[in-house]
Amino acid sequence: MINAFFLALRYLAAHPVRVLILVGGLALALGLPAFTLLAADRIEDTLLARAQASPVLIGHKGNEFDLTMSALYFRAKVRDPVPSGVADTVVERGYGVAVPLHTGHTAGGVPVVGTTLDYYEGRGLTVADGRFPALLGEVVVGSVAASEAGLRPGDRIRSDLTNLYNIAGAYPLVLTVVGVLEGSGTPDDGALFTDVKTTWAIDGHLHGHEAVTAETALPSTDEGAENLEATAAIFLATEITDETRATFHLHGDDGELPVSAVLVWPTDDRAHDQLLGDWALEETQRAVRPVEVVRTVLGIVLRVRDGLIAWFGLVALSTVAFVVLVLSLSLRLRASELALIRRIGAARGTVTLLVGVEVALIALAAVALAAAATVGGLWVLDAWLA
Amino acid sequence: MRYGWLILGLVACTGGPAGAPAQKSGPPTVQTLSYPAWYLVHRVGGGRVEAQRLLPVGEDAATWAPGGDAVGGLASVDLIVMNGAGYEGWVKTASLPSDKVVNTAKGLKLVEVEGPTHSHGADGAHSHHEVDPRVWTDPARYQQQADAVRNVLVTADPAGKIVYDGQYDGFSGQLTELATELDGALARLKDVPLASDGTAFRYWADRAGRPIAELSLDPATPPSAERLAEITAAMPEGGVLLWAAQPSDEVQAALPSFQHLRVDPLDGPRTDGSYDYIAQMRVNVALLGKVKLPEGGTDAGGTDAD
Repeated sequence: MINAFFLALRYLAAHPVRVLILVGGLALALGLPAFTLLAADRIEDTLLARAQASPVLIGHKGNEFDLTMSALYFRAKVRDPVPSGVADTVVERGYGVAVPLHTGHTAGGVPVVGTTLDYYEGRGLTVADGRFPALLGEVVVGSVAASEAGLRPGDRIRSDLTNLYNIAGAYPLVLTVVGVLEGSGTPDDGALFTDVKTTWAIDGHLHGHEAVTAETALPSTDEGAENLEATAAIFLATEITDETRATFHLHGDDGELPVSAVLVWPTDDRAHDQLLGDWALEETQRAVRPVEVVRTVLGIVLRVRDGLIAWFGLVALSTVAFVVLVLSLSLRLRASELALIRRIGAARGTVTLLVGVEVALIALAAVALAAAATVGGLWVLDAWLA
Repeated sequence: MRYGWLILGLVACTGGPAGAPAQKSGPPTVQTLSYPAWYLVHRVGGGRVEAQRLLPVGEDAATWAPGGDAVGGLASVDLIVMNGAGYEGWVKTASLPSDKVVNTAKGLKLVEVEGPTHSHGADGAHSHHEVDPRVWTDPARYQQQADAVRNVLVTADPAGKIVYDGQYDGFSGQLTELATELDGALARLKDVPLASDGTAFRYWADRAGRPIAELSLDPATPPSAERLAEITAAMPEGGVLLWAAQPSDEVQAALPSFQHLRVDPLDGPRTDGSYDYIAQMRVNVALLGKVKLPEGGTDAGGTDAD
């Protein structure tokens, strides 16, 4: 056996190009379907993990996909918001922890997410440096966003202009970084988090301005100087600092202000079912289970995966046929060599063993290469997903 | 299967909420955001709870604001008790842990006021209803706030229930007494026009069931002649002018038709030293009792607070 092994090894070493082509072809035929299968499983697990960690989302009736993508991955813009008071309603009914999410703004291209302190606890996020936002205008940065932009506590960042054609509306605001989050391997690493009121300030719902005086007001009414109506001449604060923060205010009930979605962690299964039942009766809002939305999307991905695997199966078959053809041609070309081996006294089985070991070595090398390529590919995929 | 650990790690990192915090044994740590809130916890908590006061002595809770680190530090206490109703102005724009905040004015019937006129968007000029934050000036409402504090303390520290109930009963009795005395004092003045320098006494007006004219006066600067004429035209002679801050002699002399009464607004001490809500409220009620009534009344003489 050992002699056959060495003979096979020497023969393969003498024909490197042919061996490389055979090993490469077989590795590709084996590796592609294996990688596709495992990668699809990995993507499914990652997407489902994020969705399973977000039991219920409440948003405006309409596009569930946009709602889920916006709330879980901070991508896509929700066209119709819901009032932030929905979160209070959920809590008052005893359904669990409800967290408003205001997405759609960016700062330096990084998503700015307005939420409350309950979000960090619910997601298991902790601070690596600094602290969580406590005041208007403060942000905490995800670990990846911080390292890519070089942000640290104490730095300032300006929100991006969202409406170039409405300079009388929302202004970009300068925000102060007060903390950097620990890495979590989730989309949270690539976002900036702030209090939902700060995102309302970016919207323009909350604003700060100099005191309204007779010079900056419309002509006073009979009610007297205490009730002045400001004009467009009044200067709006574009940076939230210790000096300007006290001037920031909103007019009206903050329960009416818009958020993209409300993320709910129900207390238990019963609260979960009651919550879904309650919101099924709502006319303009609905409660969505992100797991179902993600599974619907994954269903499409998995159908593509199945198609790819079928295709790769055909490729594998043709590759195997090609390898068999090459081997049989090789055997035919080596007929005189193999006949010589028999004439000098080798048993019939020895030739079979020799050829068998050659094929086994090629197959083993192909499997090893396919496995290494698959593992490497999955590592790259994991890094990309993170 | 080494990637299985990665999946588990992802699931762990994106895991669900931490769940309800484990019930802590012993009295809770309580941070209060204003004097009225502090007094509630101090009285209802008794010796079992040490109420901390975030607002420095002499500062006005409506205008003072703590720094970011101080607000961030509030996450480490068990309870954050505030008066609510917008009194602690900085809370409106701060991030506080919602499960620890106790808004003692929540659910109470509050005095509504008209906010400033403004316009935003296409709606044109309008104003929003706001509420007056000085709930504590009404002993009956303050009693309801004390009840809210008692409930929260009992929930957080069931072992201290007997203490909190006992403390509440004693405090509640005093507040009930004060409410009765205040009603009596205000009823005694039913034929006396009432006015105030500002907006500090709206809850008294609500209890009395009659308006107290808000004259927007500066205690240090006499009003202009034009303003004086307006006040004289609007207010009959012999009225009582309630001052939240001590008016100067000059200001009092400029308004001779009024009986000037400096009444403590009960929002806390201006300087370090002893200050007690119940004691100050009793002083206020006694001052109202000393107001000189119109001819035909049984009492005589009215003196200023100081």
